[in-house]
Parts: sequence; C-alpha cells; structure tokens
Amino acid sequence: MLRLEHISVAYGKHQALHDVTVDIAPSRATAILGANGAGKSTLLKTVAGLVRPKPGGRILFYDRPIEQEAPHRIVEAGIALVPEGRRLFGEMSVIDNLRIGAYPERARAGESERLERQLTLFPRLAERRQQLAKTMSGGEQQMLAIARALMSEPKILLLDEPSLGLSPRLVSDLFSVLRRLTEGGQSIVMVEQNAYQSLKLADHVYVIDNGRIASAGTPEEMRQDKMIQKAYLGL
Amino acid sequence: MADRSKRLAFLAATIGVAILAALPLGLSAYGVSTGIVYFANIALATAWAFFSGPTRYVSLATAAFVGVGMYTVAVAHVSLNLTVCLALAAIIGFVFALIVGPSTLRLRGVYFVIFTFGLTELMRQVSSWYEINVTNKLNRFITISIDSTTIYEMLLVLAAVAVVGSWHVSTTRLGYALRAIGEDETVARHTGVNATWTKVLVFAIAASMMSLVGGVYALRYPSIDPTVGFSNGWSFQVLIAALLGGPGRPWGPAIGAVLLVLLSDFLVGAFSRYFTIALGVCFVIIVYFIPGGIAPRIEQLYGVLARARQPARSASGARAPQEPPADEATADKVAGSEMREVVPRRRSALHPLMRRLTRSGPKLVVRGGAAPPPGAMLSVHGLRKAFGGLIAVRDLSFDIPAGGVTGLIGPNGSGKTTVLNLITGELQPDAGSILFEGDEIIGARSFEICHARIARTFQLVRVLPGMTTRENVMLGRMFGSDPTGPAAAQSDADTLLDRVDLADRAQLIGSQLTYIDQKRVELARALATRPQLLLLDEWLAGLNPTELKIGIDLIRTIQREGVTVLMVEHVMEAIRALCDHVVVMSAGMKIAEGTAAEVLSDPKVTQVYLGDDDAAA
Repeated sequence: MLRLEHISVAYGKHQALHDVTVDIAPSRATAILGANGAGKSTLLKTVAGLVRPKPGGRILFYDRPIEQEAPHRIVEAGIALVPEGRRLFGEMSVIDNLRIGAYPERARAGESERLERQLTLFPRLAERRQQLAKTMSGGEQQMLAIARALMSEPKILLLDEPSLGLSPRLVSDLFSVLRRLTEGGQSIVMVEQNAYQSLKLADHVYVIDNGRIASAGTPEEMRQDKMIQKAYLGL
Repeated sequence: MADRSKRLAFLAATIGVAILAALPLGLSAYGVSTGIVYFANIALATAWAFFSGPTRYVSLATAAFVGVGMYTVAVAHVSLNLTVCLALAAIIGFVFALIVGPSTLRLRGVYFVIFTFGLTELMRQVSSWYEINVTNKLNRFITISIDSTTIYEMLLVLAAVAVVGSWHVSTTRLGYALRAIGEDETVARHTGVNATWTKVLVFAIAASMMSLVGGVYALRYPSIDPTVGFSNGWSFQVLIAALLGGPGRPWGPAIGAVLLVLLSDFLVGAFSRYFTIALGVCFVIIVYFIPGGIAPRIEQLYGVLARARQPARSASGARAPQEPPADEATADKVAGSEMREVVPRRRSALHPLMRRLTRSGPKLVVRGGAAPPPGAMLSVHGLRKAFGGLIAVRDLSFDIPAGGVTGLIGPNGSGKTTVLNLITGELQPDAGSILFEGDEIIGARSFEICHARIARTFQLVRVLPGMTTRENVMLGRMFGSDPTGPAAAQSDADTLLDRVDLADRAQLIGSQLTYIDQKRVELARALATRPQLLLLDEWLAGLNPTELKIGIDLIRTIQREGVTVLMVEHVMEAIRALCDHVVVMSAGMKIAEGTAAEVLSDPKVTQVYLGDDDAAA
C-alpha cells in the first residue's frame, strides 16, 4: 500500500537517507530499528511530508505519488504521524486535541463516533476529558498523541518512538494497545528503541544503518541475526 | 584571520567616523540636518536592538525614553549648563527604566508590547496634564542657541558609541546572557544567569542611550510639547529600522536606520501624496522577502565572495568550522578500528560515543574546595506541592547520600519531575524543607541554586536552538558556580565537548543536532556549571542497548570523579547498574526506598510500576 522508491534525504551536507526502498503491506505492523541518528525518524518525516526527499525518489501510496504533497494533504490521503516528543496542543483540553485530529475532510463524518472509540480504547483519556494536555503525565500524553492521530482515521499510522520516557508498565500498556490496533486491521509503521517489544509486535522489520536499509525480514529472522542481538537486544 | 578582519573592520569604522565628523565643513545646512536624522536613528535603532534583539522582548517604549530625555533638557537647560543637562537626561532615563523595568519585564509577548506602548501614552498624558494644569503652558521653549554642526557631531558620537558598544557587549558574558534569555529563559536561569537583573540592567542601559539622544535632539527644536516629546513615531520608526536591518547583528540596526531614512526621503519626493502607502508596500515586500533583515544577507554575500576568492583553500584544506557534522561514513573511518572490534560488520549501528569508551580523557569535573561532608548531600523533608486540586508531591522525605548515584523512579505522573523542579527552584513547595549540605535552599532562585552547585538536565531536551553546541556549553561555564569570561569558558567547553564526543559538532547550532546529541549537550552544559549534585531527568531514555551501555559508563565516570547524581529514569537496566540507593514514588508519595535489588523486588513497586512484564529492562 505504501512504497518508498530510491528515497534520499539530506540536511545541508549531512546525508540522512541513501537510496532507501521500502515496501509496507496493508494490515500489518512494520517496525524500523536502527541506532540513534541512523535516519529512522527522517524516514517517517519524509513519508509525512515534513521533510522533502531529493529528486529521483518516489513515495507511492496506493500507486499515487505523494512525495511532493503538503503534509496536510498526506493526512487527508490517510497517513497520520505520531511525532517524537508527542507535540500536543498543550493549552487545549484532551477532547479538543482529539477533535483537532479529525480535522481532515475525510475524517469529519463520524467524528463523534470515532471519539467514543478512542475514549474506550484509552479509558484514561475519558477520565481526563477536560484537562489541559500540557498538565498530563508523559504516559497520558503519549496515549493522547496516538488517539489524536487515530482521529483522522488513518490507513497507516506512523509512530516515532512511542515508548520514549514511559515507565516499564506503561510501555507494556502501550504495546498492548498497539497490538489491539493491529489485530483490528490497523496498519502501523513504527520506529522504536525497544527492540524486544517491537519484534514481538511486528510482522515485518527493517533495520536502518547509516541512512541505508541494512536488512529486512520477519522478526524471527531478525532474532537469529547475531548483530541484531548484540546491538538492539543487548544479548 | 578573524583577528585581522576584526582589526580591519575597526580601522575602516574609525576612518568612516572621522570622515563623517569632518564632513559638516563642506556640507550645506540641508546636508547637516540630514546627517542629524541619520545618526539619531542609528543610535536609537542600535539601542533598541541592544536589548530587544537578543532577548526578543519587542519594546515600543523608545518614545517614552526619548521624551524623558527631551523634557529633562527642556526643563534643566534654563538653570544648568548643557553637559550637565545631557548627563542628567542619561541618568533619569536609566533610573526611569530601572523603575518600570522590573514590573514590565515580567510580561512576555504581546502583553509586553502593549505595556511599553502604553508607557509612552501614559507619559504623554501625564506631561500634558502637568503642563496644562500646573504650568498653564503646553510648550516649553528651548532658549539655548546651538548650531546644527554641534548637534551633528554629538549625535555622530552617540551613534558610534551605540554601535561599537553593542558590538563589544555582544562578545562579553552579558551578551551571551542576553542571547540565552532570548532563546530559553528557563534554561538560562538554571544555568546560573540572573535573568531578571540582566534584563533590567540592559533595558536601562538602552533607555539611557535613548534619553541621551532625545536630549540632544531636543536642541533642534524651538520648543517641546508633549506630542513632540512623547511621539509614538519614534517607537515605530526605530522598530522598523532595526527589523529591516536585522536585530540579530550589532551593525544591522544601523544599516536599517540608514536605509529607512533614505527610503522615506525618496518616497516623499517620488510619491508625495501617497507616501505612507508607498512606504507600507515597501515594508511588506521587505518583510516578505528578507524576513531576517538585511544584515544577515550582506554577511552571506560577503561569505560567498570570500570563498570565491580562496577556492584552493576550501577545496584542499581542513573542514571549515561551520560545516555540518561529519557524516557518519567519515566519522566511521576515523573510529573504524575501535568500532570494528565491538561489532564486526555494521559499525555505525553504534553511537559514536562508543569510540571514547576506553579513552581516558581530561577530568569532566573540576572540584573546588573541600570534599563534601559524609552523609546526606541533599535532604528532603516533608515536601508537598499541589497544583490546584492535584497534589503532585505529598509529604515526601528522602536523603541523597553524598558521592553516590541515587535513583528516583515511579510511574509517569507520580511527581518525579516536580521533585526536580522543587529542588532547582523552578517551583516553590507548599510545605517542607530541602537541605543542601545543611543549608535550606527553599526560596532560593534557580540561578542561585545553580551557583550553589546543583545542576540539572531536562526531561524534554532544552538545548538553546539558536546557539552553537560550544556556546551552549560555554554558558554553563560562564554563569555556573565558578564564573569566567568567554575565552576561558570556550577552552573548558571544548574539553567537555571532547569528552562527550561532540568536538566535531562544536559549531553546529542547537536545532541542527540530533536528539541524542542534544542530550549530550545538555549534560556537558550541566557539568560546565561545576556541580556537586547533578540531577538527570530521564537522560538515558531513547537509547538502544549499545548506546545505553555507553551512557551508563559516562554517568559512572562522572560519579567517580566526585559528583553526586540523582537520576530520574525508567530504564531499569541503568537503575540496576548505577544506583546504590533508589527512591520509588507513586501518586506523589514515597512507596519504597532501598537498594535497587530491594525496591525492584518489592511487590508494591511491581504492581504500580513494573507491571507483569519487565518491559523496558
């Protein structure tokens, strides 16, 4: 459903991605592993239209090129990003943050129904409907950021380090929510440092190294890889 | 090279000023009066940008200070000689700003703008009321007779002093403090900058210059009345000139002022009936196409020309300092041999910090004075903090043993960061005490806590985005517990950067750094303040296992070198590896305390914090 072909990205002279080709299949969870600075976040940002690839690369979403689309058009097409560091609207309430998530035209019909679904999925948010986003704890904020992205009814949900700064228990909670989403048919692409949990959740894994796709395969294959064990699983 | 070009610039400026000073001899009366307008605008725009440029407090109070200067001269020249009058103008402007500063500078953004705008209005109304009701005359006549050439020369001197002075200050500690305040005031305070005092002082210095210019300018007029003295025109003209030129550069506002006067003159001649409209259109065009002002563009152009002149040098030579980070391929070549031993194939899956793992670098910490007394370095007792109805910290007591690593763990929202904010003076508790080496530190302000040798990093990384890596770290050294000037701070900063392996990124600005590099800058900045107690707020979050090992080793080294550490962390592996003492919080209360092994096997901790699955281990 989503295909990146020969994508290269540079920040000034610093080349973050070199000729990356990635294929994302529908209704699956894809995990992207890699060291800090390897280019994982850049990859997600490029898909979301926040960073422009160099000429020559293409990003096809259901065979339609989107690499030059504005970020809001990409959300409209069905790709939602949960950015690193949550990036909520701090002065707005939980409910208002969620409503903003349904801003794309495609997502406006059925907004209240979807809102209820998020509040069921994240009961904590239901308890805190009227609270200002900035006053919530890190874990609650992360849940809200995911729920806000889901409000746009994305065909693909992109998650950039969702477990960052969460307590061990919340990390488990987060991954069980993600598991429920994928079991419900939601396609997910996530960048994570928690390789252990990511490999449990994912159907397919890419490893990015120094801006290039270093390997790809099923979680089982990855777990067998000595280098992956050493660098990402700490074995 | 930099030194030579600095001297050249200074020489050129001196010659320029000398020529300008000699000019009136050959100029017509019109020429002299044009010069007066130029110099007054240059001095005012530079003074405005001296404060408002780095701090980003947009002030519309220029007219208030100009008016104060005009009125001082108008009132005083009857009985005092001119020099004394002008000195008085400067002093009164300074004192006036010292009085309004502390209340005004609490405001941020649009409120500050409106308050300063209102200040001019207020001054005009008060002076009108006074003149009408007390003196019964709206005009004050200037009876001193002074020729325009003298006014020209005086304003030339003021303009030169303003430009050279603000250029000089931008290279001093004060200049760095101002920029840090503009970038992130909270960080500036936590890095030891007395932000309030710095802002008020600089605001007052700028005001003093404005009043002085006003005082001299008054001599051109036959009489002063409140609408002339406190005319908002000054405020807006100066603001536009500074923005046009580029308030980020010491000489930007001067260029802006010259262009603005030129442009106004041209438009008055060319479109006299539509002057204001034409001027407005010009501004829209300028702001749209060169939002940062003209000065940065000129520097860019100069840079391009300079590079074109020395093609051989840049092609063959070492990396220019402004160049972006070594891309990882190059970095790997340098470190290749060390890295290869660790992970044979994909070396760059590791973080570059790895390379320095075994290297023994210079000491991270320079300890001054005697060793800390044995026992508790920090003692928290009965601490309580509520936000409205939510009690974030309730009746919390714990000790941080000197010389060790203490862990503070607990679920998200249990109040850990609030505890750090209470210790560093960012928040004031509702009850309780915090003793640091036996002294109560509650009530001390953040910068004082920093001077007392407690430093911190922030959970959501707060690197000053517009300053370079090196400057970020220099701040800690310049304003920390043992302050120095920029030169000494720079060499110490470089040492620290080398130690956290950021030496090759010293010239990159904060916003260009990756997340993990920003964390390292924060650590280096905190260490640069020379702390005895270092507070780390989830400094190890978001690292992969290899990077985590490096981070753990770094914290261990810091502790071995004599710094006591309190770390808020969710990474259990790090807690197990580093902490000899762990405090567990839940819902604002302490639920467990002891060694890592003790608390992590405590059923209460497992239930609220770890969950069934030791997920992030």
